[in-house]
Amino acid sequence: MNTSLTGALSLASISLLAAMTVAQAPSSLTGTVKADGSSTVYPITEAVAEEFKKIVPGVNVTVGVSGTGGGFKRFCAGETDISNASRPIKKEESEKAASSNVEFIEVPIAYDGLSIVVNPKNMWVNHLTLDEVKKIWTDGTSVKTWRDVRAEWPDKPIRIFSPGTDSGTFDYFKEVVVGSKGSIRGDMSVSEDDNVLVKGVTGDENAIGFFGCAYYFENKDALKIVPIDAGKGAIAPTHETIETGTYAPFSRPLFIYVNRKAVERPEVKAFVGFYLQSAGKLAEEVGYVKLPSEVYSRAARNIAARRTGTQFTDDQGQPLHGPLADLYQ
Amino acid sequence: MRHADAPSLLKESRESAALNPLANVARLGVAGQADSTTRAPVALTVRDFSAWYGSFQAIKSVSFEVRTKRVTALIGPSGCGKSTFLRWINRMNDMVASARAEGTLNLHGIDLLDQRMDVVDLRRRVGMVFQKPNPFPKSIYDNIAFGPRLHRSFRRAELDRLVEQSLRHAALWEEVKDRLHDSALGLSGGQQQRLCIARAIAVGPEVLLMDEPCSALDPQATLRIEDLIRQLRSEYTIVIVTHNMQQAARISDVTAFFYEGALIEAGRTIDLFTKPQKKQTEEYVTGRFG
Amino acid sequence: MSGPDEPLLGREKPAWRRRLIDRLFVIGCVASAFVSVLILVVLLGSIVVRGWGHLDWAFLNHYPSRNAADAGLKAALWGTIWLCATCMILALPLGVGAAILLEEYAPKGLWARRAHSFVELNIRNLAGVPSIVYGIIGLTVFVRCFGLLGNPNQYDQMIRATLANGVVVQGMLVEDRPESVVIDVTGVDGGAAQAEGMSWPTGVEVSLALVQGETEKLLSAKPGEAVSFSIRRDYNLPLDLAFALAPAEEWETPSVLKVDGVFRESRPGLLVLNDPMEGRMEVPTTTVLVRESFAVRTHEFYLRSNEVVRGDSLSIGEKSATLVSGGRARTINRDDIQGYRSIGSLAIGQEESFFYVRLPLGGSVLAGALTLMLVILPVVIISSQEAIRAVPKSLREGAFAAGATRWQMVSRMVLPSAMPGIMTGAILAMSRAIGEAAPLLVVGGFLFITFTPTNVMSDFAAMPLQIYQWASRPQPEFYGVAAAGIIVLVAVLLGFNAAAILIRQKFQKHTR
Repeated sequence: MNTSLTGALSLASISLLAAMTVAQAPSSLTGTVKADGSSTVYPITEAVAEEFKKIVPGVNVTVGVSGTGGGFKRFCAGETDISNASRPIKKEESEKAASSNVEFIEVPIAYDGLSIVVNPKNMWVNHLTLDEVKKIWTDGTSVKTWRDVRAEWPDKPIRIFSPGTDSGTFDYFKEVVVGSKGSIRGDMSVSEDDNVLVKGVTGDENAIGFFGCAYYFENKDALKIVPIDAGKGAIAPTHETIETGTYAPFSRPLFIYVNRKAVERPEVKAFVGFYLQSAGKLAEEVGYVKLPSEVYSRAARNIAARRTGTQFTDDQGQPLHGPLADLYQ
Repeated sequence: MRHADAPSLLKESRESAALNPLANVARLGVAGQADSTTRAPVALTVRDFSAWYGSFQAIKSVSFEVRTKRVTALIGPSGCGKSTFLRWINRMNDMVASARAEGTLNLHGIDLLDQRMDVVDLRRRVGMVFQKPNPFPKSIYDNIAFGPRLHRSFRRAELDRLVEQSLRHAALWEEVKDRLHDSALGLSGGQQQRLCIARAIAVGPEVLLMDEPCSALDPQATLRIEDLIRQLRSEYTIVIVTHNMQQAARISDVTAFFYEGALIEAGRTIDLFTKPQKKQTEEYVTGRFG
Repeated sequence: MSGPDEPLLGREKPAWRRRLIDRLFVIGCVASAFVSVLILVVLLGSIVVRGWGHLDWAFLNHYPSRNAADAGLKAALWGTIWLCATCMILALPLGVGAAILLEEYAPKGLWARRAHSFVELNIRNLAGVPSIVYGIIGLTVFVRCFGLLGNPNQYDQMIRATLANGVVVQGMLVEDRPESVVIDVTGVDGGAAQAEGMSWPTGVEVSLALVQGETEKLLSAKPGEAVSFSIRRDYNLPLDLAFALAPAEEWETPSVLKVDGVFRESRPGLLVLNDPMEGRMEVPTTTVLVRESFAVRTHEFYLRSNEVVRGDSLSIGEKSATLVSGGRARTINRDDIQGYRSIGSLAIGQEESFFYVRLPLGGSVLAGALTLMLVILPVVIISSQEAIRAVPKSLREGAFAAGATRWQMVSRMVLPSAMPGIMTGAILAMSRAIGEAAPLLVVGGFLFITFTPTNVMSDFAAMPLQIYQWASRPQPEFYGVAAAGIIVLVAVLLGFNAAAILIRQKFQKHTR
């Protein structure tokens, strides 16, 4: 096969043809790529789509923000080509996909750290252990004041700010703190808009809250970060601690899920290829943390091999935990 | 005397006594046509006619006749059923869900109580003028043209002519000819009512129903309407409901007196006012009650 | 009756007190009006102050961007205009029609009357239903059509491949194998008809690969016919990997080469072409990317003299090529030719009129507009009912007395008189529709979109979604962008309202 192609091309004036088609080959692509899902991942996909449009103007990429769950609903029904997700796909969701004949390729694209923050006037908190975090947030907890968390802290009421329960951010936090079976306390100030949470924590000395690190990085002066001690000393989220995985367990991977059939379409293939190539740089630009480069290579290989299914649940559909570079092969 | 039993044909009239305050008026309006008043062809035959609103009987077995090209006045105190009767003649009561009627109501051979009857065609033949002037919120021209446009399509010139004729007929042309395209709501009350009369005659009806057309007008406007009615009687069969006995006396040929849903007495206006046959009629026309 | 001598019953209310209460009432009214205006001024003022700097032509004419400075509202602006206009066109006739039915055609029978009041009550209740509920209804009914009519995305997933011989194959791309392309033509209109000379049963899965031997037939053409298609540069390296792993600066290097030539013959596994310069060229059919092949429209020769010669048809001889353009033929010596390329077009998609509709509606403008219609319909119906009810009975009687049928009465009397009120209701409804985000999010309004709607089946973005997204971004620069978005939203709303007021005034001409 290879020889016959070479033969064919040697007959044609290959250099000339190549020169003629250089500028044209990628840009002659047309079609539509539909992505939807997490509002956390949205800025990255938006940035990739924005850059892709400059190179391949003929392809229309559309990106929605139905939320991770909402995005999966549409994706698993085959209505979108790409689903943005701020957590791995759940067992029920992949079953739904299987039942409507949708196969997907899982592609991690960036890290998002979950930052736990307090008001800058809060002088007593300099770190929290993972157990203390669990103590504060577990449903049915007796923690009403800061003293309930640690005895030497003041007897002031603790006020908690949390993202909406529909968000992937909340899901991830819940998964880490109480596991998939447990539940988070209900008496929190909840907002879908993370900026509202930032304002809430900024305005209340006794507040504590959590949200994506991007919001902390943008509001470093107005917030005080709480380093987390999960057994290896107190570690605060930075680009380095998140990328190397030392800020565990509150750094989470962000994903896109690609419809396997859609990858066969040249425009989707090109977009996903471009996504992998530019995700690291663009994710950093919009406030997230890039993945180790070998993860991007693995993802590219998985797309080429059309490796379907999730790598984040075991055979029974139970979620797996651990560093991304270990889990994702 | 085809219907000797009808109350309207009670007696031939005799000239009234000079004492009667209404005598002059009667002479003005009716004199000279005394004979023909009761001889004109019958337009509307009413026999054992009863009407209800729900369980309330508004009209109780009424019988009389309305004659062609005469003015028939329906008088009586409030709530006596005269307006209800009028609104059955053009089936306006169809708008009232609870209204129903029995008996005979026959206009030129058409059974008005027949549910299958073409109400739209009936209303084209029976125009109506209401108590309160109700000009449409349109231009004067469009008010007059409203009815004709419902039934026929016109060339512009034809419609112009029809509008002018109708306004002339209603003695309004001279007052409005320069502002035909202004809002009709800018007219005075009397003008508005004459506009409504012009609107009613623009569709070319045979019968004109008038439901207390002057009750919302000042005396001067009232007189103009009355003049107009007198002019129109040569062309239209007019049935007018009025509270005003003088008005009935001034303009009508025949008067029917309703009381509590029943027709007490009907006859030549001059007879009814000068020689009432029933005590109730006499008491009413002399102003002792009502 | 009490005479002048008898004392009046009751106690005199002091006049000063009544006057005082009257004064206080006026002051109260003024104060509450002042407070509401003040709140509005502060709100709008702070938004204008924040957003004014971002408000320029570029803001209206740019698509979304991750950079606040480049971010624009174009897609969302046009999406909202399309959405609201479509929504109004749908909701007004429907809402007014329902109001007319409820007001003018009141039933007489007992059970009909009960049904009537039941419907009325429910319409009032529906006005209070959270809009996200309508979003869910819209998703099920409009976007997905209960899943009865296939996948809403099927039209984007469909490919239309024009083969070298002009045969158009349209269907779902099942697989892009190295040796062939599998296209499912199940249920695709005209799929069979367009596959010239081949009878493909529609309704079953047909794969080009399965029709062995036919593949070449499909890729063949009449001898002498010009053909052009793309081939893989190296089909052992998957295309996507080549894209993904290449460094950015090399990314534009094509993995796909275009082959142009004149068809000579097809042999098993091989297409034989006449190359414009080298003569014979053999292309293995296995390398052909069917999707990117297209019918040649124009041939271009680049001559050594720097001249460019174009023509519609081409014939190639031993030593020269003849190019025909507009009836004039020109023969070019092969030695003079420096380069050649053919220009054609991919026959994908087609021009659609703005009201073109297909089912299921998917996340289209029409689906969004229908969903918003559900949200505002109760408001439109109720306000239209009020407006119709406010038309005096005397006007209805007048129209009936003139011999109008019910329809004539409604259309010539009631509607014109009620139109100002109906338009006021429409303004309220529009104000609600334009700010709705939740139902649009559910039916699949997009945020990042780089085109404006061209018909009611287009995907769309909407301003409230875009503004919310900007406002919730971590970067503070986006707050100003969000504020600018709000200013535009308010301006568009005022624009729609101005249109409604113009209509209202047209109908109010004669009412006073």
